[in-house]
Amino acid sequence: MTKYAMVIDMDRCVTCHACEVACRAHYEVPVPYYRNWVHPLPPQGVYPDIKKTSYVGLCNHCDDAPCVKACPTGATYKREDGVVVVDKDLCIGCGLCIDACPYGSRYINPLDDKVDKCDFCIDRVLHNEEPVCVQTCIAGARIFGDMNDPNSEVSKLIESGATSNFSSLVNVGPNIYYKDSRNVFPVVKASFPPREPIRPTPQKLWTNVVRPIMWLTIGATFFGQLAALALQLFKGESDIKE
Amino acid sequence: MANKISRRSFLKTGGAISAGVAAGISAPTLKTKAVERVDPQKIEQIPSVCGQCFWRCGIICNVVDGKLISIEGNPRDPNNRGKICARGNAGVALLYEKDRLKNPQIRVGERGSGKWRDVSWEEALDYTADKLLQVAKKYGVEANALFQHEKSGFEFFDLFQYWGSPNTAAPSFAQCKGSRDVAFELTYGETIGSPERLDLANSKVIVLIGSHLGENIHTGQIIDFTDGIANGAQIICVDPRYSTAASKAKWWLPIKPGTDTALVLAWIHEVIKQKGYDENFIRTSTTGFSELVNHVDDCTPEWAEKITEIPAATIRETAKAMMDAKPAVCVHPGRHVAWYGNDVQRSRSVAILAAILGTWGKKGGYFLNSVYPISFNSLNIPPLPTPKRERVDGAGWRYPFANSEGLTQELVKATLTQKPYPIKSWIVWATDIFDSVPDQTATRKAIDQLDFLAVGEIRPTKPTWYADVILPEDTYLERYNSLYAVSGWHEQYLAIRQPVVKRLYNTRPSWWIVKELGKRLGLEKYYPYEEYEDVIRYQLRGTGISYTKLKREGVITFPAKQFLNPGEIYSFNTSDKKVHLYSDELNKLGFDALPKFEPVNDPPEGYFRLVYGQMPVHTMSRTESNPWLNTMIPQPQLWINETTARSMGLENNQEVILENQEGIKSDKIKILMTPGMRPDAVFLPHGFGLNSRGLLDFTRKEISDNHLITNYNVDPISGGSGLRINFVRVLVNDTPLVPTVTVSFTGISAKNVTGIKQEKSEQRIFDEIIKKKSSTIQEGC
Repeated sequence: MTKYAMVIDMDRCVTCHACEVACRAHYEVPVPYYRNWVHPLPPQGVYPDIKKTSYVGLCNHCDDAPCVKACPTGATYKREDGVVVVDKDLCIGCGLCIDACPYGSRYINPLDDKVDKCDFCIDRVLHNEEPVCVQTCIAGARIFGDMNDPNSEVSKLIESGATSNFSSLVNVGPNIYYKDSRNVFPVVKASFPPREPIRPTPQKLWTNVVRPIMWLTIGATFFGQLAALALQLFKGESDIKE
Repeated sequence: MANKISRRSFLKTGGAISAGVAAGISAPTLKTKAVERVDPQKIEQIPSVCGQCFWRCGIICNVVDGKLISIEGNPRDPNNRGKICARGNAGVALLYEKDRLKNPQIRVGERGSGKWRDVSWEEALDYTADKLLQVAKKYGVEANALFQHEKSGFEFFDLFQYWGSPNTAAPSFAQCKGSRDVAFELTYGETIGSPERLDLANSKVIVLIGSHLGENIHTGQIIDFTDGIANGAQIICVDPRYSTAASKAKWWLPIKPGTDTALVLAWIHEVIKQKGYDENFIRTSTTGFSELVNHVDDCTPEWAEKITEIPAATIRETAKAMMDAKPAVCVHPGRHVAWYGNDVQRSRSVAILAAILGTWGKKGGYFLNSVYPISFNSLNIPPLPTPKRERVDGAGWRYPFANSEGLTQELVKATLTQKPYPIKSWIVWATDIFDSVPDQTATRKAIDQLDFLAVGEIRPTKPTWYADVILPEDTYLERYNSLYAVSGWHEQYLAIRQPVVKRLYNTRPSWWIVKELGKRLGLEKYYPYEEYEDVIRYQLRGTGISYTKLKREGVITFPAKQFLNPGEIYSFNTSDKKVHLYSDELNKLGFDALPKFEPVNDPPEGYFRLVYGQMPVHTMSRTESNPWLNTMIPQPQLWINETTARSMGLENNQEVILENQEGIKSDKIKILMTPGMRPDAVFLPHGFGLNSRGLLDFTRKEISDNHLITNYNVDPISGGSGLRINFVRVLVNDTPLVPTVTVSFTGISAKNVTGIKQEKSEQRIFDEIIKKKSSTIQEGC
């Protein structure tokens, strides 16, 4: 089974923002929103031990994606290949997924008032093209592929220690990895730790109370109907037999 | 909020959802975008050459029904190999930028009042020609001067050649790479080229002296640089600031600004002392080695330590790294080298270091230049007139090694003083002279001396504000330019810039404007064509290159001879075919034949040296108003040493005002307190503070580094303008803040390093500045 992932090579990345603009162009992301981002970080530390890097981020296509759980309509869902996508026809623009995302990778696109986010350029990928950010990256710092394929560059880099942005508090299985032989990623993690998913009370009420009751009711009705049907069939059968 | 109407929204009505959906794609896939996937059949892919900076990357423009939807790198181009940077990607936003100049305009109010009326091209050109001819009649043809940049500017350069005025200048020389090119020509007989022929990908050691690759983005160079990093190159980064390049480096050398030559001389000394040079190359291909040996005898690492504040041990260690890695050492020659006004000599020291390590024509060093395989048909035009008077900027006479690219600051100076003879009209084509040429006040005052100022631009930059006539040019996505023929490097190539969309407004390409203007100036004999395509077709006739193929593919490549064969002795383009470590040419004209370290003035107390550099999403001031680029880095931040700033009572992100040694103040700028900045200098990113009032989205803000760069040292050899001799102090509530701690950054304090003490009175500081200023200004003639 394919599982798409991306590795950002922090040794190569020069914080040039080409990925960000290529994505903006391809998906017409209106300013000031973005589907992927490069947040430059100033040099920090004490001479001579100074680190300078940036947070190169995009949707983590998490294994245990809080956005999928948060979506009340099922518009946000995880494909079998691991890519988290938004079905625009089902999205009602409620924004609950935005609050749920620990990485800030979602926004409401004012062009259609629906949620937009990185989808790993899945339609390009399915047409054998690279994601646009990978295609344009002048530093060769973005590697995309199937992490379940042991021969892919992505899985080799993950195997050899590429890390991802999770914390002891929030770990929902992010799938963007960072190759980091200069050990700069802790600076990124300290500046941009994953945020605990926010679940508003109405939504908690919805998922924890209303939805279970609803399912229970539907289930009870369904099983009741089924039982009734079975009973009727059983009776009917005996009728035929007669 | 940007335009709410989607560029592609019209496609939706056409139901243009991917027709050729491959089997196995689930329906929801196609709904994951705000915009449907455009039918690949509908996309016209037109190759061209990017114009967002001067690196000339090959691009492929995706056009649907006459609308540009995105830009990609052209994989055929050996320069950028299918990649493009943020600016290249944002070309779409430039094309559709709402504040573009859309019509020719003639000024109706006072100059600078901002009142123009839209006119036809006919009227604008008649008016311009009339004014230029009036100046020529009254003061001579040479009283017409030109400031220009890049391909479109070259068309005007030619026009001036045809007309007989020698007074043209481009900031690409005196404010950029002029001194470097002169130094390499003096040493090797040829320049290092642009794109620079550096084999960074295969280098084992990369030496960057002030080159902040990564923040200064030239796509092909970054591809090679990052390949070099991945291949394990050790980087030696010499910079007072912890740049992105420094963050990739094994050695960051936070050098005292202005002392780079001392460091390079110490490296040369060490390489010679340790016999780490390429003996064979020196014997067969150089002259003046023994003079060099004597010259650097005293330039020990200990000597350099006291000057540069780089520990002698580090100088030895880095020199050893170079010796061990030679010849796979790439000593980057830099690009903007107009720092202190002794820049030819510093660049000479760099060229000499690279030479004795034997890196010329070696893998991991400098690529060879190749003979370009095509000779183009040149247009059959009459001979050029000889200008009746010498150039006013002194290029070629006062500054003996300055070439016809000219000296912008000297042209401004001559206009201001009307000496050696009056300059009464300027054409400013595709260059923001306020953002590039130092001393904006002089530029402004020089404009007052003019009878006529015509400005050709795409967007309303600051010079357009003072224009008498505005000639709006097509963007690079709407026009032809002359062919791009690049020799040497990875591969040689020929590339074409062609229109990818129909022009959106009443703008014109520069080739058409010069032709029409030429006709009106009586120069029609130099323009024997109607369409630019005819020129290109004619140039290609008999070369074996198909014009159709060139248009279709954008780029045609030819192999380059990259490196010397084993044992091959290269014939350099110098008088004796050898590398001139010792320069007789310089000696004959009374300059130092070998580079010497010349100290520059330290900042007065309470002041910092103003250093500056590029930000990765901007090309000088050309891109600041591009909404896609501006959103990422909308404002510059002033880098200041953390400890120093804290001692001044500053807080991170606080807004301050900068005041330079002459009392010129900036508007409010946010500070970035960082350990990655030397305590005696502050860093201000270049390319911000576009303050043309015509750009409606921008409030007028004087936050440009060039606003504070009022002093410059002219390099006596090249005429380049050294810009890093300006000092600023930090004001909060109109009160100057003075550091109360002395930070010794590397544990070494050079003599005369910024004495950071509090006691000095305002008056004393002022007196000192005046004293220093008088010694700082070096006329150079």
